[in-house]
Amino acid sequence: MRVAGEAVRTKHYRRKAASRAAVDMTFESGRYSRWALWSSLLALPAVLLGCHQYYYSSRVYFANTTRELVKVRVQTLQATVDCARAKGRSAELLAQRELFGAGVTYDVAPGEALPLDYETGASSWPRPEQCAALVQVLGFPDKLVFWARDANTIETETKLAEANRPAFLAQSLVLEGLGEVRGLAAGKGLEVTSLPPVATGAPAISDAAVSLGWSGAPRTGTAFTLLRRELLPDGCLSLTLGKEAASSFPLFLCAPDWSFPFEVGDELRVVADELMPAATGYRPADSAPLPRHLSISGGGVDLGIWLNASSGPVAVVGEVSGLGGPGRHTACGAYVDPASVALASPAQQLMPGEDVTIAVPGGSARVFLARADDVLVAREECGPEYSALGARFDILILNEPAEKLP
Amino acid sequence: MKLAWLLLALGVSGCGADSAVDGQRPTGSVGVTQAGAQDAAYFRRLIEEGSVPEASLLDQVGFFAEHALDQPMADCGEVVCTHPSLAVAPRFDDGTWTMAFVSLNSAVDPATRPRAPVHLVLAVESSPDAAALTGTGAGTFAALLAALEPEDRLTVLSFGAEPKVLVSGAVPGQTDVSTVVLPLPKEAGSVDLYAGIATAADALSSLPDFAGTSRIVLVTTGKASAGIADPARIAALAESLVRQGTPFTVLGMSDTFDATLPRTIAELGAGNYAFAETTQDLQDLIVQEAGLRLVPLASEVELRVVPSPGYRVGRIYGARRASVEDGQAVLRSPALFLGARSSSTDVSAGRRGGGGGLFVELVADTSSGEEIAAGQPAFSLETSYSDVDAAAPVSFAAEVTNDLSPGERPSENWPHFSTPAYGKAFMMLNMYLALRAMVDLYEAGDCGAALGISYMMEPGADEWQKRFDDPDIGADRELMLMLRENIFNECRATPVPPTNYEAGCFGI
Repeated sequence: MRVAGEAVRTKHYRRKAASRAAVDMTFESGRYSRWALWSSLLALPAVLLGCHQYYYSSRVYFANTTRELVKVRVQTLQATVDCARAKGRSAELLAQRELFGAGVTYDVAPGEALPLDYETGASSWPRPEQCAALVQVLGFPDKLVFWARDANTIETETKLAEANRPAFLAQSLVLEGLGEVRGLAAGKGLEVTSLPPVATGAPAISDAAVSLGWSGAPRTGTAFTLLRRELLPDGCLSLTLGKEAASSFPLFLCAPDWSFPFEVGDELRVVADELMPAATGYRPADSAPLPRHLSISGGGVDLGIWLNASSGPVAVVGEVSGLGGPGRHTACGAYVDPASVALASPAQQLMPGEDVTIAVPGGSARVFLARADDVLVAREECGPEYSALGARFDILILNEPAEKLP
Repeated sequence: MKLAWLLLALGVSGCGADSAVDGQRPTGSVGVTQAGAQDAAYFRRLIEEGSVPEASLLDQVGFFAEHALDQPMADCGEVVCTHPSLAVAPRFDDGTWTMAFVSLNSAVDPATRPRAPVHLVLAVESSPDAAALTGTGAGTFAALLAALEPEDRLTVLSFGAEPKVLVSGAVPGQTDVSTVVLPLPKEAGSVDLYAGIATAADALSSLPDFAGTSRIVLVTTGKASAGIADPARIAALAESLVRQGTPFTVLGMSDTFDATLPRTIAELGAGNYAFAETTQDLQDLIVQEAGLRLVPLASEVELRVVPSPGYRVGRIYGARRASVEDGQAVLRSPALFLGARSSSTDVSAGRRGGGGGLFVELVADTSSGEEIAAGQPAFSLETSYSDVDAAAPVSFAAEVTNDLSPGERPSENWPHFSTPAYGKAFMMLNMYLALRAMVDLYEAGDCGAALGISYMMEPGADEWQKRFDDPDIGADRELMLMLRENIFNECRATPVPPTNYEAGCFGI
């Protein structure tokens, strides 16, 4: 395999593989990250070094069985994907160019193979699980190539495509044919989807505005007085709280009208647990973001809001569970399936947008589920809702006593 | 201005004085364009410097706004007139390119309107990235207050992790703002943009004795990382303010500028949208706001392009807020303002026109099985809005006929225009599509196709110039050729005409 020095824009790396000719590898500018660099370096052939008896080791290959050299551009997955659940749904979840990073162009000589799976090899740099790549061969629509996370690793003895080996073919995207009559054949172990050409006018995706949230850095403490309560033009509340005007703080609260029963002059207790700013760089899929919590209480009434919760924050709320597809792409490029939240007593499922009043000891609780999403494709470019895998929800619970305290 | 680009969102002063205005029946014509995004000056500059810009830097609304488009007279008898037209051209394959275009203009001359006192609310981001350009802000605030009229008022607020009103209702010539400075940004640099806009909204009603209009000027890096960070919710707050009649200018800054949210707000069409590359640019842009007047013309504006039998709606260009509803292209805007400057420090760098509008592709639709003859309607345009001055609803409709049958190619390799005098808009769209496709394909690694686009488009641009010799299209052609050279220098591929290319063929 020789990595092409063509179609380049910026960085140019050269690395000498043991006992092999120098390899030119080219990275393009743009959405570029350290793990992409690592991934590509790992794509270098697993050269026979000592006891290893294979040349390449990969779960998926591109194979050039024609008699001509072909340029292949490979873009690796940049998003965090629930690979197990993406199986059978790769076209629905992953056929988006923005999920893939900078391309690397390779010259694949006649008869040679190109490993596409960069899971093999040690890396100290954390990176998303790889189960898809975007493969571009001039003259063909760009191909999304997806492989199962439990697919067998195929080892080759040389850099050549092993076209007579069924296990190799099952895990390969094969360019075959002669001269002008060429075709791409997908192995039966792969899911291969043709992407539409670039810039063919796909409509932009927009998300509905969230219906729960707060801004303004509220303080945590007791005996705050509600000094001011106004309605913003978007329907959210503009509140001022404090022990006196000089030390007051603003709180902007987006929540249903019925959920904020407090009036100017009420003495209130405020608890605000803010999520720390998102760390930069790649976050492993299992490190779900912390939920945000706001509680405002007074006169026996308690308003609680939990954003991005992944489990029941209070006893009345049970687990969140994904409802399966079809889901939707978000504006930031994530993909989510719908989800619902279980209420403990009475046992029932609450869907996003629904609210229900239930009896609780000493009074009632009105529960409003604002959002519930099961994230199957997460992107670090997204906000905390969609930057990690898993099912999470935004919920509001208004607890009121059977008889309101004076 | 040297290093900033600015687009006055909704028309310009000066153009409206081309005929007398009696105050009752508007008769002149002032271009009213869609919401202002940044123009293409930065994209153009990168190409002139030998680079291949990222595709995201070519903003279609900004590109169109660089072109001067002639329009029919605004003689519809209402404050805002709409003008539908149609072009039918061969595609580069066997297909037909059928495109509707809608432009807006007004006979209202903003210079004839009295200037009401303005309460200007300046909301400035306070973060490490922003501080690199804003500094303490003290000089800027003083200069802005000095540029306002005596009856105006100025409120300044900052927003970082939390919002803070720095001065409320400052009076020009009376209030000393020399000690008003932005708070030192916290190291973490979180930005609660929603809180900043919400605090500005609160400030609008903070001067009970003030009589006049209000305006918000937002200075932002585009970051929203604390509080309500949901872009849709933040945009909804800005839109609700505009819907109430509050003009809303957005000034971007910083090397880390994220245009997504600022552009969304700017596309509401209720103020300026500009980007400052230096501290001096930022101060100049802020101070210029003192001399800007925005005259509200209409609210709850809706344009609806309804395809006639034999057609369906395809792609839409020129207005990102437009959508397809029940097979019709719909563009809604909460408010339309007409801009006017009273200062002499206007910005003109890289900006020739003020053109723009809504393009809707019409695709021949044979699904009904009905045979549509030549000379039948291609689409109708339904316009509705509320006249702000008259406080009355306005609605009217117009139909545009295609002299060819749906999908029929013109007999020669030249487009068929419903109103030939205003065909430039369609060529402008074609040049945008060419530039966009070139950078898109280059970004996707297909250098050959990127180069192929320019070779496909060059004869059409040459033919257009031979017939009309238009300076805007000529500049677009030069830009395309420079881009071709830059791409070739980067990847030296063999030009390959791409398939499925969006543009029409304007003469070969």
